[in-house]
Amino acid sequence: MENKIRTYKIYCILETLSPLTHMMGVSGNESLINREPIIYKNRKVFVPVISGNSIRHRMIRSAGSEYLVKQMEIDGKLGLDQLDFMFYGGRLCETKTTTNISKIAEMEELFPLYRLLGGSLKNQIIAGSLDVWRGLLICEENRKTINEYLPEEYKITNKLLPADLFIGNYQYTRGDARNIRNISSIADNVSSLDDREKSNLMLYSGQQVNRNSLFFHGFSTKHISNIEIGCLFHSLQLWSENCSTVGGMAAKGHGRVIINCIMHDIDIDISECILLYIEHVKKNKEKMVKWLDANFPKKKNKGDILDG
Amino acid sequence: MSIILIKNQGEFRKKLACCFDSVSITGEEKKEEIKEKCINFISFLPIVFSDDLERKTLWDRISNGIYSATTKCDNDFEKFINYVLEYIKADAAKVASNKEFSDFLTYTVKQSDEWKIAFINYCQTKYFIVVTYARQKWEEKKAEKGKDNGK
Repeated sequence: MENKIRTYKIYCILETLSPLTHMMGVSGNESLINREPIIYKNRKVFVPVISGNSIRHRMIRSAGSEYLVKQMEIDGKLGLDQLDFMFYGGRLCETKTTTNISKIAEMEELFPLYRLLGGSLKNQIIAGSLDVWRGLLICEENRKTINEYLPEEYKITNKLLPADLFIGNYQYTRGDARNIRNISSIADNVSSLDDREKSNLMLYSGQQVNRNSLFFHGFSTKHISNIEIGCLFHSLQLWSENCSTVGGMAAKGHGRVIINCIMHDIDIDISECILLYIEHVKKNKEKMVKWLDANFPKKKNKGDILDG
Repeated sequence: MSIILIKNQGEFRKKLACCFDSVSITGEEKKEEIKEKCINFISFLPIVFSDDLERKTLWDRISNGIYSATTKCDNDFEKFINYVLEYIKADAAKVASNKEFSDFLTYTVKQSDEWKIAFINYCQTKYFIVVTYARQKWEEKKAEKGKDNGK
């Protein structure tokens, strides 16, 4: 396959398989979903949204970095700075910043994932080549905006359901140990409990985006090779295979989604690109470890200093 | 591959079909009409409210009945009405003989499915408001009846 350097637009639809609780805050003991104000029919309305930051982290960086850690066989051996760079993009921590082109080139060649996402070395920031779009709820209020993104033949001409139909509520209860039957057979020092003492049963509730709602989002990439597009889809695939979730409360079954990618104007074989990326990682894993150790040297612990 | 690939416009439209709106009512006039009918329906409920229930809980019970009916009725208008009446233990004979209620049913039978869904949706999303208006209307009805009886 010819290794073309190209710019891609990848359109996606996220389908919620369980309530989605990508939150923006809390009011009392009620959680509120993330909404953004938009102007619709000369009015300000608030429509649910998934931040690009969340999509980027969950679907690409976290999934892709976990794969790299396994392949490089560095589980349990990563320094904190290395971990920070791989999973959270790193941070500037030296007083002087610099632009070391060869270092950037080396990183981009070794790590297609970080060429896509960018990140920060200790003294320089490296821009990525992947733009992640925000997740827009597919609803009437967003139809015009979504159509601006979509290619001509995919434009949505039908009227869509209004946003408020996709929003619901949940309520959970956290029990109180004092309500356990025969508590004295399990717990110690319960004789002091007053029978009339009120139970501390905790009710907590919040908003959710209902199951079977759809979000439109996408990725645009600038001048990337087949290996990088393979890396992008490989990360999406890993995320998807590992019970893909977005937003919070995955522990309670929230946020499970499936991703649908619209293959418009993409004339390359994605499976082949993924294989290219896997091959690349296998071939370069030692070099990758060396690069990480050189750029994010592990701090010696106290014992090492004393021994040294 | 675990990612679903949409390869053409047809597949895309199929995926989006669940979001297409064939039922919602957008006209302001229709919305006002639905609001008025909701208020009329709820303001009729005190007439058929069961004597077995504490009269002091009248509006509490009506509002709870509306809310629970909206969540149970699965967008079925007749089920919705039935659940509300059931919740307030309405007297079947009083319901059947009430002209206001039978006029309401005759009117709604002619309405489209979208109208009926919009009615339920209005009760669900604005039930505090609709109950407040209905109570006002009920007070007005009582006052008028009092005047008529005084003549």
